[in-house]
Amino acid sequence: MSAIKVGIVAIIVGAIGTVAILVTPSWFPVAAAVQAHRQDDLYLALMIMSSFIMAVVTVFLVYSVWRWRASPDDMRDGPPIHGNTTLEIIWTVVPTIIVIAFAVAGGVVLVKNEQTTSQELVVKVTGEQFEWTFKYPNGVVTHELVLEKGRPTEFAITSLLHDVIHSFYVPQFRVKADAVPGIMNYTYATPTRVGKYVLICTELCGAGHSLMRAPVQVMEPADFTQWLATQKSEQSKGGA
Amino acid sequence: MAVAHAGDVAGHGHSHGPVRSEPRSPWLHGSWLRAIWVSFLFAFIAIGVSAFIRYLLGFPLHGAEMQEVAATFGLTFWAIGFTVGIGCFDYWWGYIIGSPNWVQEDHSAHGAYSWRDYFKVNTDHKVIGIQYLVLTFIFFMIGGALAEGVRAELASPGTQYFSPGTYNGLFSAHATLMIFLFVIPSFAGIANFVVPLMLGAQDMAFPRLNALSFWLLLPGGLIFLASFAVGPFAAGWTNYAPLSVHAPIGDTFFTIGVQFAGASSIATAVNFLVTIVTMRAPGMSFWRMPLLVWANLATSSLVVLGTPFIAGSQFMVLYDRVMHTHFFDPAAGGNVILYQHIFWFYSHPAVYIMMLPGFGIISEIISIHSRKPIFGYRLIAFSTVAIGVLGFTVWAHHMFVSGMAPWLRIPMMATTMLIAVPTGIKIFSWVATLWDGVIHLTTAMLFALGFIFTFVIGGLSGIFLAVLPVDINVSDTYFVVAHIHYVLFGGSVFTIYAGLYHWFPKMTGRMYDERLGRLHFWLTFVAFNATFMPMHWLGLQGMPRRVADYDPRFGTLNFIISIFAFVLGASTLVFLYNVIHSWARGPIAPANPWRALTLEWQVSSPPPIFNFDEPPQVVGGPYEYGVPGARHAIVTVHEPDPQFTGVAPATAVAGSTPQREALLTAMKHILVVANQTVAGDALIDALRQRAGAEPVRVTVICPQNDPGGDWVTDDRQVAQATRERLDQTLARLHEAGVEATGEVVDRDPYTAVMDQVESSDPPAEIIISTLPQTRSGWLRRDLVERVRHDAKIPVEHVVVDVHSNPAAGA
Amino acid sequence: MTSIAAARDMPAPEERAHVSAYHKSLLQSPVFLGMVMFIGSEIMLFGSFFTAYFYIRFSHGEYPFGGFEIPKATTGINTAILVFSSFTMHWALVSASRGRRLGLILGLGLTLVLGLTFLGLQMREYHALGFVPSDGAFPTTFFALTGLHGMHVFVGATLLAIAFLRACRGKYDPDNHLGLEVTGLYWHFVDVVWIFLYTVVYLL
Repeated sequence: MSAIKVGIVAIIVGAIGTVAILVTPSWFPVAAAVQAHRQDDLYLALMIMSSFIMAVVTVFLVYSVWRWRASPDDMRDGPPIHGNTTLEIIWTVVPTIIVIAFAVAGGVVLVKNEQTTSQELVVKVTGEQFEWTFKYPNGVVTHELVLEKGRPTEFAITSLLHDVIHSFYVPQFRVKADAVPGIMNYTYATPTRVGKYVLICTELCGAGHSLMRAPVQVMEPADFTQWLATQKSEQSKGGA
Repeated sequence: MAVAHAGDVAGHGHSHGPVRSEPRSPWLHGSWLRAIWVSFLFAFIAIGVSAFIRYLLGFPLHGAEMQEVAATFGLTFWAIGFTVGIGCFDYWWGYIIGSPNWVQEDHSAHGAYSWRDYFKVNTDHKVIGIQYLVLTFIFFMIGGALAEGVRAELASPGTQYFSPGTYNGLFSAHATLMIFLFVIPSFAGIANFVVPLMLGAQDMAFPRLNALSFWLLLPGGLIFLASFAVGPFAAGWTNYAPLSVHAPIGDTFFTIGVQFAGASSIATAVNFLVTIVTMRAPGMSFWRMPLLVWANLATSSLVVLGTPFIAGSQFMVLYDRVMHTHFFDPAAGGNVILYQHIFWFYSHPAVYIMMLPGFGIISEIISIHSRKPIFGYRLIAFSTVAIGVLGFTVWAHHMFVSGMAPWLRIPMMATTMLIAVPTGIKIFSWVATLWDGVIHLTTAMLFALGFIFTFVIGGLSGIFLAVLPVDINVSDTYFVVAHIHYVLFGGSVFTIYAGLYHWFPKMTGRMYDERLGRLHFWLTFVAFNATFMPMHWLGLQGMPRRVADYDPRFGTLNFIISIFAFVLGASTLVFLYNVIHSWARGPIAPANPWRALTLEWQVSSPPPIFNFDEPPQVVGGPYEYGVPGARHAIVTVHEPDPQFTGVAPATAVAGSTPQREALLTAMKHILVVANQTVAGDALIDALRQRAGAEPVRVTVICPQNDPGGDWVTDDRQVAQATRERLDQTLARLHEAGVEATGEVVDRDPYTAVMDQVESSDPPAEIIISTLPQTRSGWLRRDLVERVRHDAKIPVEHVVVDVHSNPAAGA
Repeated sequence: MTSIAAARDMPAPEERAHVSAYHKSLLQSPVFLGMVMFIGSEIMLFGSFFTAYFYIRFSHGEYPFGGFEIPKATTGINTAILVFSSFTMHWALVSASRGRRLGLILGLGLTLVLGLTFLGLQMREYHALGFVPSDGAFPTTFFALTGLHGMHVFVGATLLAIAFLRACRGKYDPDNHLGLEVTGLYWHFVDVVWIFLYTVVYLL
């Protein structure tokens, strides 16, 4: 078979792979934020691209080995092909275009994900060995992260000054930012789904790293407002 | 002239070094025994001095700080003392103090004549290469065992076997050993063995520095392991501040071990760079270098320029720990993220250091085992250099979520994306090389093919990670663990295995067992993919890395992964068995089992001690398969002398008298017996060739008396003429750099020869020069045969046709 | 025999003549090339500490952050001493290549004395500074940079001492003084780093 035909087989395999990818149930946890949906779409595009690249490399590789495999006593040499300028240009330029496209896409998604608005809820997140603390604008301090569905939220994240680096990660939001002593780090999420999620520390912080988690809950706006008010009054009475 | 080790000289034909009259105790000269006591002595003194200084300054001599100081100085000087004791510095010390025993061209520690030589300081790049490969493989097994410990713990959720501190130490040490004590030095070992041969050189530019590089590695690795005795370093191989600064004493072990591993690496890299730049055989332009050499050129540049940054970063952690400085202390004006910038500025190029040599190996193997020129040689060479250069521009992609300056993220994403292009070029070129080839599925080729498959997966997951929003999501999860193992195991380790199989015949002189090799490959390939492919999914689902405990819903998958991880570990035993069994008992390998064109395959397996009898002449590219009559290089092999396995480069004897005499006694003593033919060109050429191959000193005797033959003379005039011829000959030999003395002797030739053989300064070899058979009285008397029978040393017979040779008979 | 010549530490002059033209210049001295590359790695080591210095310096408004003061004038004199020592080193090298033994020994000796003087004065300044590395981020980077440099001066002084002793014993001749050239290169490197360091840390 000529190289073109093998190439066509490879494209077909890539297409089959793409179909398989599209019908596979999501390999992500549930998407609970606007940022999550964007990341998932980007990821899907990357998977489809990978399917084709993987198909091309694997099909040509397997075909070559199958077709031109030689027995140990075959003393011939192959044809002295040193290269093919056209081909080399193609496989330099095309990947460059592909990676630039994804870089641009990634940049666009990043900017969108981090856009702030005036309605934002700002939650101060503090990590320490081995516990997360959340402080709300009205002064409420909790160890459980409660958020309002549909409300863009900015997380201002840090670690205690004499502590170590931790990392704030909610898989369902697909956002992450390190908690670093001495600086304020920011990430953004707009929750889209009511439910219970989890905040996981994803930076090695010592012996308790595996267990450093906090519950995350997204509530309807009304419930959230109520929760915040309740917390506020409880903490005013009894202390944080 | 003192005669020493006459038997040695006859038996080995190389210098055993300066003459010593007293027996050398192993406790006092370079050896393991001396290494042990010197290392501990240095450590003891260092700790003592630092304690004394603390006492003078009024600081407490107990407590955590004293421990840190003791560990810092003790470990550092222990490691230095080890290299001193084992003998790495003996030669340079002799130079510095102007020792009378010092010989400039001292080849006494060169070449392996027995298995014992592999345990000593040796300057032969081939010996050092094998030393590296064996030591790094041991660390591979230890690092692998640590990984099995991690997988055992991860087989079920919850904590089972290890305390959190120990568990964190397991994965920290696993990565550290694998990176610094296996992958990086393993490539150094393969390159050490192969690259000088590929260049047509007789050794590296700095053979002693080469030995020091190796011996720096072992104490570095031992320091890492020793940390388990005090509580292993547990902040990951990345050792981020502030965790590392606040960590217990084991972390100091890490910061110091890294310095020695780093020093070893830098010294090796300088050696490779100088060797590749200055010691290529005549005709080997850069565009005729094999791609493994290109790869090592790029890698060594990365090592020289990048490694100092990890050294600096660990120094800073050490200072923050021991001297309470504030590099990374935000409370006092320091900066936590600074650590990451400095660390990753090396550690990203480090991953290319761990991959580029592997790319070079794969280029060699795919070309040779599919009998085709490598497709797109120049573009592959360019892309190798491009990866090296671009590798310095992407470090902050490890820091996308770190809280660094936000504007840096998108440029770093761009450069990271671009670096995929040269890598992709290589993959496509390799596949194109396979296309329409004559593919031999040797074990090396299997690993090369497996590598292409797994490395494309790893490279693709790398592209995923380059895309910022995706990276933000999967950073520090098992997705990253999957990626790194696909590129480091499916990448680097597969190429190391491929290289070891490919060059095994050259290194050991034996063929490995192909069936076991195939078994090893398939076990490894299947177990590897089964272990690490599911980790992509785990990461996407949110399982963080560096944890012992995880969400119970991941329990079954982790269990399956652990099972396959143990199978993967077991697969190395197949390899180990194959290597040991084949090395000991495998079929003898031919010089060129793969019918390859590169220079290392044009010498014997294993190669002669000094590789080439004379510099090869490179006349074409290294991959000209399929071109009828194509040659990469022309290699001249001198007539192999069956008795002697080693050849040494010619030495110009210079310097003061004691050196000269020591050298002269150590040189091979050749007796030349010639009368009428003494000035013959053939004889002089034979001697020049001999001198070109190894250091020789020549004694010429011209026996005047041949009872019973036509050439008998005791005529003074004839003797005078012979004397003049002899003087001419000696002068010509001197011009050619050969040490020669001679005399006209008044005895028959047989007696004259045996007198010399039985004297107090006997020769190691005899050359008898006669006229042609029909005209030689000596040959009519069977002189050569009789001497061969009675002298019990090699006798060469040179025929000089005086009448057709204008120089002779004058 | 051409490439074999490069395998030795000191290729004899008569062999260089047989070197094939296209890689002759580099073949002149692999040892020198090796030292150049080693110095490259040392520059990168200083680079990592300068990175720390710049990062910390520019993350604060005032410099030196924390109100510490450093003596520009006295260190300036020390700088002049070190720079002058590079000239004496150069004198030694030129004397060696011209076979002038007196110039060689005097030059080396002076360089060594000046280098040791530099070290001594630096240590005095350390005492007089009034702060120690653990006092803050600026002292940390200050001592780290100057200390790293001082260690390199110490190594350089050791190399100079060895060269000086060998010169006294007549081991260098006009065609064969590679050890001296390498020592000189290292010493110039140490000097150049100091000039950069002094300018950036003290003056700017």
